[in-house]
Amino acid sequence: MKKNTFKRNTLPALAMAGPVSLWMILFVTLPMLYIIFISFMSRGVFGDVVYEFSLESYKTLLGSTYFKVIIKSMRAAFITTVLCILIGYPFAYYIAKKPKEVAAKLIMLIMIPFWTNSLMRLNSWLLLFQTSGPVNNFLQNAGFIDVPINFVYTDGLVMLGMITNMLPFAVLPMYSSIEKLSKSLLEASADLGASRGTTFFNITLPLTFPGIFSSIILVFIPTLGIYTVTDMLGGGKILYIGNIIKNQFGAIRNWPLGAALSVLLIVITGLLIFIYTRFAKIEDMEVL
Amino acid sequence: MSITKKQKRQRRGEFSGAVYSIIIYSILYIPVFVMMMFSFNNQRYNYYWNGFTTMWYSKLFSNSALTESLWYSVVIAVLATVISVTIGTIGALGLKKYEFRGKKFINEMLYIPIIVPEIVMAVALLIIFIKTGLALGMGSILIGHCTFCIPYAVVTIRGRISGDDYTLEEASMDLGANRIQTFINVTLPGIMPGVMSAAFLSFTLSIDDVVMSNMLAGAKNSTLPVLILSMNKSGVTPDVNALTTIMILIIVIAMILNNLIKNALKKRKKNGGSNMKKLISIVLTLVLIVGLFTGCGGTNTGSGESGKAAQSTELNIYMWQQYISDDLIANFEEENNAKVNLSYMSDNADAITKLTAGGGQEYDLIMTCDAYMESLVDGGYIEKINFDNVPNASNINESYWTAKEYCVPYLMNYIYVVYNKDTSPIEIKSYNDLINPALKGHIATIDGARNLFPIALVALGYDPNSTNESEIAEAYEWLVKYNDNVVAYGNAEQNLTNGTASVAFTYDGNASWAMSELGDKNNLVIADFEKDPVQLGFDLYVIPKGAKHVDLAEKFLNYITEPKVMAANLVEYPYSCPNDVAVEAASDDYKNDPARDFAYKENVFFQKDVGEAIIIYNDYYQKLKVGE
Repeated sequence: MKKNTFKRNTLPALAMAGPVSLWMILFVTLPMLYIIFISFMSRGVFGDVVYEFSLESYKTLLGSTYFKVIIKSMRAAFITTVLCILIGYPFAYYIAKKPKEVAAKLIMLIMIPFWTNSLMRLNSWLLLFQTSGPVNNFLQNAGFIDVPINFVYTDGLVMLGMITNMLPFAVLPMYSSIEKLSKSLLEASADLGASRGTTFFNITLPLTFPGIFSSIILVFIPTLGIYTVTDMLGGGKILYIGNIIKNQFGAIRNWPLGAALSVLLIVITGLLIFIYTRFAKIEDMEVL
Repeated sequence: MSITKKQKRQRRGEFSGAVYSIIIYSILYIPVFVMMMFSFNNQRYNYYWNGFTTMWYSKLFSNSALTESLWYSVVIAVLATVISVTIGTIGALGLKKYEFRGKKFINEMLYIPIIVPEIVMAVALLIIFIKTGLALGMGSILIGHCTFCIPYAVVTIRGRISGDDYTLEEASMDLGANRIQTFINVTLPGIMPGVMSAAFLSFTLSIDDVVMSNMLAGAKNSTLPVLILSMNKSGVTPDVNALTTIMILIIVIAMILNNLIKNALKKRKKNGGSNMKKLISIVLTLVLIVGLFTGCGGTNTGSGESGKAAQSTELNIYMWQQYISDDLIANFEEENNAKVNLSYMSDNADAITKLTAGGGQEYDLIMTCDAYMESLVDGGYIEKINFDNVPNASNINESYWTAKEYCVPYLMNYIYVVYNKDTSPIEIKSYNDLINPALKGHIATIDGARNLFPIALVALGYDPNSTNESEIAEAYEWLVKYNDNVVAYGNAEQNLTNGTASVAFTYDGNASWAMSELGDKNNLVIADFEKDPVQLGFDLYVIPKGAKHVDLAEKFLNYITEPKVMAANLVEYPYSCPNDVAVEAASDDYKNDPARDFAYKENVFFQKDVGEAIIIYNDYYQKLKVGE
């Protein structure tokens, strides 16, 4: 009898859930634990980790220098997220209201640019906006400005790069949740005399809120850790947490501090997810 | 009446929606079109539009590093997709169907790669790989990609499993089908849309990934995004644009084909098995995509390790990007019937990290600079070079040679100030002129603690290699003012030629490029320093301890110090060179280069090893860059 349960239940469970569980433990749990461990160690002169307990990294982290970067990165990630949601929602709504076949094609059209290289697309913004670039030339020829405007290596251009890179991650989850919205519900609301505005705020928005929140998470968190956009468009002058972490494992070679900054990002992420679970089940998080 | 009003309103809504979408799509596609346009740019790097050419497309076929990296990207993306979707599909079913201890934990773990910033995951994996001694390379990148693709796959597929599937499965089993049959004939078709989405998502995430790949890339097989990121400092060459343009065309063609195949299959068989059809069309399309990519990138897929042959057939070099002629490398490969793998550092510190972490496992030659030689020799990180095998090294001027037994100098750099005499607000005669507030937003500068701090120390009248903390702190204050005037770190040539910067603190070779790019319109002049010394740095090759292909490494060193070879290299990379015989043999253009026409060539200082003070430098440097 016992053998039977093994064959009927344990074996298939092991075969099916085993690989994914093993992968997650080996390549997610263990590395994460090690990161946390290292963040409490000391730093060696040539970048190696000295295995002596120390809170030095966390003290440095809370010092004013890094605290400012953290605040700056959070602000940039926040603005990016808000803009992505505001720009993305009407767009997702428009696509979701199309017939399924058309919507699938429109979604595909969003994804195609992402099959080219994101760094090349960022580089394009640089070429477009640089001092002698097409945008400045156009503005000068049209007589709007006399002297070229310095667009490159500014927070504005970095923001543009962030938004264009993150927009699909905002649109896709919102699209999924709007698409699931039952049409009859909206019609009922209209039939009962509600204006379009009322229907939107009382029915559409609350029902698509899980999608919006998924979007917020999928945009905010990656933006917080990104370093390629600032690397390409910030001219080495604009640094976010991602750049700082990368530097600790590269040029600066302070692994414990890099690990501590990573732990900080994990904590911020954890807090956001905690808030998320107040509103929705984590299993319902939409991706595509 | 009311109906027409409603219709009108709907039509208006539809119209504004369409306009809005077109605007969004344009924003998403503008960079793609600009990228495509600049693949036809007649310029060595994409600085600005300089006329039409198709030469980059023909050059693509000779630039093996580029096509190879694309090939690796595609292989990794395909493998990551297959692995992730396979593990993800059975995993999603298993996690949904079975209860077991620790399931909740695994469910939570699944969300970590999705929601934790990628850099954190990448760093965590990097540490694990280094600590367990696993070689970095294609395998580590693949594992990294799967680690974030699997969770996406599980989540996407799980969303498509409905309760009905179990009843169907049970029915199937009751009717005598075994588990495998049930899985293939009942379960799989039911979740096919989810599997498709997961595959699509995995491929997209993998092919465009930079962060994970950059962290986990080893000596060979770096992916295209990693290569492009390392080009960022000097500028992206238009052949990358050409390659990316071809890529996107292939994808669009593949999609049209996929549609055609789907339609054809639909016509042939009207009923049933629609998911099977979808699967067939996707598989066919994948085969086509891979076929097309192979057609482009093919022929030079890695030769691999043929190991025990008398002569090595592989040479792994770690050095600066865009610092050696492709043609010379190709010649060397042909002469020795070997494959040279170049990978690139973005900072001198990268090379030190590789060397101290046992670089010989991965590399045969590593480029470093004179300042680190002492500690590298002391630490026993590098091999002595057998100069019997490198006779051409005698061409090198001995006065430029430190730690002679251990290294071969390659090129050298004066780091000086060059400015645009028409647009710079002031004339520059000393380092202190650089912190003049009039220069705000005018300077493009090289980066790095050990390049920036020396000029501040010199300006303040201290030793450029000071280890005194209060002097370094003062230098930091000086650099804060300097930082205010900086418009960008890196990209000096680009910013000088397109007018973003009017002053640059850069290497003589880069100034030379900028001057020749401007041609007749050259209005760049070298700052006429009266008193302040400038830094002279050497880039040299060392053989890391335990290197596997020492014979080929020494052959390479002998090849690159051959006067004829180096002279040809100098045409493409017009830096100063310690190889006197090669300089003698160089072209007149090189000898009369205005970028090397300055009076204070003897008034130089060298970067020295500062020992533990490097921590002080790094901390102040970090503070400077953060901009407190």
